[in-house]
Amino acid sequence: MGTAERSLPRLSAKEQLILELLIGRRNAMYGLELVGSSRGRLKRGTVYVTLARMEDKGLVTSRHQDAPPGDGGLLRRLYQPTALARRLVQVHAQLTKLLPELAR
Amino acid sequence: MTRPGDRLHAFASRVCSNKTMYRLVDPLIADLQFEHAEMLARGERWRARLATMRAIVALARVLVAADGAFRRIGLAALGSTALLVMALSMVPLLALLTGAYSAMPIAAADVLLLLVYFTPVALAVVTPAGVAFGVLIVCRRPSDARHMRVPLALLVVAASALACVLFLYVAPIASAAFRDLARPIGGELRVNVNGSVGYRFEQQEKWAWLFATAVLTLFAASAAAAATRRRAWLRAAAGIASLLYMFLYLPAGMLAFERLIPVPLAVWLPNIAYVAMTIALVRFNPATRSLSL
Repeated sequence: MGTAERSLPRLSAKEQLILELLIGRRNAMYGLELVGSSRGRLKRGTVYVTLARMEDKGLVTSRHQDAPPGDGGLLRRLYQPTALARRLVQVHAQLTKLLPELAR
Repeated sequence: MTRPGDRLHAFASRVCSNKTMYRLVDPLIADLQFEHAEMLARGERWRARLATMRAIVALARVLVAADGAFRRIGLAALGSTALLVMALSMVPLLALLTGAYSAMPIAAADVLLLLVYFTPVALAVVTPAGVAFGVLIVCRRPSDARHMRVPLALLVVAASALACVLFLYVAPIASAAFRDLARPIGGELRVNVNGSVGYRFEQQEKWAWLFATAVLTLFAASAAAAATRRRAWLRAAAGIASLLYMFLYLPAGMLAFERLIPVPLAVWLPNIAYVAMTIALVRFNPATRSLSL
């Protein structure tokens, strides 16, 4: 097993859900938008911590929203999946399909 | 104009690192401000207020989740406090079962009620020792106490606020209910007469207890900082000393009853003793000289 394969990041259920939402939407999303799209499966108090951890793992990248707010408030942060994350979700999906067949 | 979340942001910037602010707090507050503005534009004032309240809760969870030290110390303190409350609650139950309270008969059916009334008082009494135990459990290396000073300070504030509510509001009600439980069936509890030494001691004692968490946390942190590999016994000794703190009020009270020392001195004697021990640990131990709690 190569070093790259050994260091393949693991995905928690929340991380997988966030990646599925981000990949499904195609556009970058902000934290609260992810909470709203998850239908109660993600919470405000945990989504930002999970996104920060995913950024450390190289699964998402973030940037500030282009349009500044009129009253000079804080800029929203938009998140999008990396190529590694897209590949990882594909691998997870393939494994999920393969595992029941291997178990037979 | 103050936007929603501006005060939260200012508070968080005092307790969080720049990294935590940039990665966690700023996105949360930015989302809140946008959501709030959108709701106000739609005329949904109450929903906007609700969103602000939900953001406050979310920020609290983010702060706890972001800081692993806070969570570890909090859980250790909570676990230790729960164990101590259970242990202390067993004392009156065992005493009742063995008939030691013959002068204070309580019907068997009321034992559960007794436990309900006793628990808030027990929680108020053991919280300082529980927090100190948490510090001693989590601060494994001498440098941990210094690195964890922010979560320790937050924990002390939270535990002191809890003790304040319990001592000033809950414990008097629970004690009155406890006395009422014993009175109808012939038992008499000794209640300190207004103006007596016991009464004055009781009145001043709760104020000294409010500082107990801060005093014991400082003591435990300084002991943990001094507990190098060669001095591992210091951790165990500090744990026992933290436990003994709550019993020190008994001899201190006796000294006041015998009029050997004035009541205010007796009440503050345990705190004074532990502050002195903390200063001794910090000043005379090279490993703790840099402690900046």
